Amino acid sequence: MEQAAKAQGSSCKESLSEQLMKPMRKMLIIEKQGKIITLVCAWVLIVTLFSLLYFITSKGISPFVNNQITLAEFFSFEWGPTASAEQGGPFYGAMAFILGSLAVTLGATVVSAPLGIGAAIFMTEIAPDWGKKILQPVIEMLVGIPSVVYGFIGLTVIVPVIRETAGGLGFGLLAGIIVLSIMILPTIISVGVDAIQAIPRQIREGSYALGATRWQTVSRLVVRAAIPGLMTGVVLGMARAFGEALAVQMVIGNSPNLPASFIEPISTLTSVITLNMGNTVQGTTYNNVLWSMALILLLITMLFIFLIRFITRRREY
Amino acid sequence: MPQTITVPFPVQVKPKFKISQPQEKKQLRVQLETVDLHVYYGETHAVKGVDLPLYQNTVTAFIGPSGCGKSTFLRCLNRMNDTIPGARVEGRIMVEGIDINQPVINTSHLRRHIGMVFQRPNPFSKSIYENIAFAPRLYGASKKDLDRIVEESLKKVALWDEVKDRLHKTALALSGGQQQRLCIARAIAMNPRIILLDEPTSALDPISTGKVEELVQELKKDFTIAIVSHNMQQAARISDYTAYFYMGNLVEFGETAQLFTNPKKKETEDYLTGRFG
Amino acid sequence: MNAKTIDRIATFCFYSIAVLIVGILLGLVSFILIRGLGVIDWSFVTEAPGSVLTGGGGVGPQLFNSFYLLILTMLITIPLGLGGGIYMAEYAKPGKLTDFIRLSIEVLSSLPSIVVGLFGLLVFVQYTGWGYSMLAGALALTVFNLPLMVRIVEQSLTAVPREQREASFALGVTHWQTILKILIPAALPGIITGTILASGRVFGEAAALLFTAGMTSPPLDFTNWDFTSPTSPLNPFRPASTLAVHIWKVNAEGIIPDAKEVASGASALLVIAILIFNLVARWLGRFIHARLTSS
Repeated sequence: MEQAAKAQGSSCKESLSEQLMKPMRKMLIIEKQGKIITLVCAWVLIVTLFSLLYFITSKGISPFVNNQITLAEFFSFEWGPTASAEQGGPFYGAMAFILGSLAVTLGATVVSAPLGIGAAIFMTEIAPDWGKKILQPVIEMLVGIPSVVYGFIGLTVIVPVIRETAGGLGFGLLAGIIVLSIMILPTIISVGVDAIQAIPRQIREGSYALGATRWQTVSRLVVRAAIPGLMTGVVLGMARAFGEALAVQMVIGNSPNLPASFIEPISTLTSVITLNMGNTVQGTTYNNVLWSMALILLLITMLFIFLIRFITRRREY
Repeated sequence: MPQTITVPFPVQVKPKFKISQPQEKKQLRVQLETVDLHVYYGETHAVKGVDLPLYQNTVTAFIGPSGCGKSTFLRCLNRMNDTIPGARVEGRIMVEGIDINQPVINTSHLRRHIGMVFQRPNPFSKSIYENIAFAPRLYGASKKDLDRIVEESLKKVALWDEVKDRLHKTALALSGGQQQRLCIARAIAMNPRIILLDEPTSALDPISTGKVEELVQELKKDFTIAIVSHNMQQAARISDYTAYFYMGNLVEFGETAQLFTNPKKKETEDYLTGRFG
Repeated sequence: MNAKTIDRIATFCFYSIAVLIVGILLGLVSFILIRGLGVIDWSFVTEAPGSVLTGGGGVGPQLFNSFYLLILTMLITIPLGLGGGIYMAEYAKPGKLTDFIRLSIEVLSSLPSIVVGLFGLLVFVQYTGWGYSMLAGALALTVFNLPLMVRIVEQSLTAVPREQREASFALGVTHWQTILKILIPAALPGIITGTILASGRVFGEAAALLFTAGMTSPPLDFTNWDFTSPTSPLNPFRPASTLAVHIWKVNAEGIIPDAKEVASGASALLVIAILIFNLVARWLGRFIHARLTSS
């Protein structure tokens, strides 16, 4: 009986009621402190996001607010920031880059979505055993490889191959699409695997019990039930492709053309920003227009994120 | 100022039921008493106005079909329901003259006096020694005290001989029964007045269950014990008093021998004879 | 065609996809390693890059910068991530604020890293007046690493069984003490594994660093341990190009004659480092888990 009394030190002389009524001020202060410190850490996230949105937005709209260029000029196809006044310049039309970004993103998605969803089905429905054992680490490795390494491989392997088989320089839309589709594959696969695994077993068993083949079960039941999750993976992959800078910049050729053919060099928003941000003087129209492109990049990424929220919210009911 | 309801202390009550065991004292002290206790989980009224005493150095068993509110009731007694979001407890829980169901009560101190053991053995993922020393150390026990507390607690639950050579190995390597006894040792290391056991044997094999039951008999010499049990035979074997709960109500409370052989209420009899539940 | 035949064709297609993906990875990794390992030797790993005209030299400072930047980033991210993760797992109640924090986590972790880099340029490079510096780079990396870290800590904490928490509360241990003494230790294997995997991502990041930590590395004197000296490798206010940035730079500029060799060697180093991160993360997680659960 006396053991804890000793452990409690001074409090052993107090009666139970005194002890229980003793306000736990010191304890409460520590508790409060803990909660406040962690809350501050959580607020860092909110503050960071909003200052990021604020700074990029204010910089991005500055060329329009300061009447350096008009929105119509910005969304035109004419790009020539160094063109002289006699040539009618300079021109700051970024439309070709926006379309370039969209083109590589869409291209990569078209290649990667079927492969990724197929791999996800393979890992969950066809061969869960060695699918997990082999594909899982493979996917983790693919995620881990830095984007510059993908760019470098694109530069040294994919570009020469395209040059030899399709002609041209090799740099261009096609090279960008190939590199990006490998990069976004793991995202689509891992989100897809989670989505398919979330489907109750009974759905499958019911179908097999009725004599349906595996393909019938997968295509009619599993994929249909998992569509929101599969879509989420695809949109996440698109967001990643759209925002990827260095790997794309290294292989697409960086010429301000419209994406007219697959093997012609083009530019994207990210590649133009990457190449010119360091070489332009702060405050000039040229530099400010780059910030406007960053703002477009940010807005479209936000659009992707809200699209995902919309898809996943619908899944709940 | 928070309102404190005081009752004469200590409360001396005449036992409402004749105690059959000859070794029992004529007069029992009430260690804890609930007065009109209600528990709500959101909209659900889980415990509906229960008045129940726990007598000092006795074992009181709570029985009843699952979902009858017996575990919920038990969890009120050391304010564990505070940790469940949306739970609301109304009424008084009197311990030695004070109502412990008020916001001003220091639940941290309270739980040191009213310990609890859970359904599934839940040792911390620490060493056996650390499992027991963890809480006393936080309350300022010295190294020497800790060694003694660990040894005494383990001896009380008859675990000392089994584990004394591996005190600093992880507790998760123990068997289920050993883990549960360790959890009991962990609770008594704080030297509580009352120990609440929430179906402590439901996850154990028959042999381990037997050991825990023996232990409960042993422990009532030092502590007041309340035990929730799924198993009527177990309740009959180890308890001095039994409370039968149904649908959140306390249907009948009485001396175990009397309640099992000669229940006053029809519902109790139906349950005991297996007509339902 | 009957259902059986279609089923066989579909199965064949799925197997082809799986083989294709495994093939791509094997191709990538073996290409990188075969091309790179021929370049890597002791001097490549330790020496500074040679002059622009002659080429040669190694990537010693870049390798050091990558690790130093990783450490700086983690010094900032880990405490903040622990705090934020604890809040989300233990204190956050369903409501506007929690939804808001979740939205922030989601948005921040999927922002393009180049945008994060530009934000860093604006705030940590220009606004603070530090110029291109390691600290600015570390802060920019924190911006997208922190949400990841918060998520790792939150998931590891919520994976701790409820029973552990109850056991601690039932002993009269307060919530905060329970978090520090019971929950965090129990969640440690998950937190460590997640942190190391996140480190891999930070280690290979380049786009966010171009305009924050910069693309150049000043001549370093590795015997100089004075934090404030501009030639000290430890000075957090000096510009620093990392391995990943260096790979991009030599390829993009294409000036130095041996750009391809340098890039192959550096890529191999990067991939090896990330392989090691992956293996260590798995091994350490398993090891700690085993230490905690067996005798």
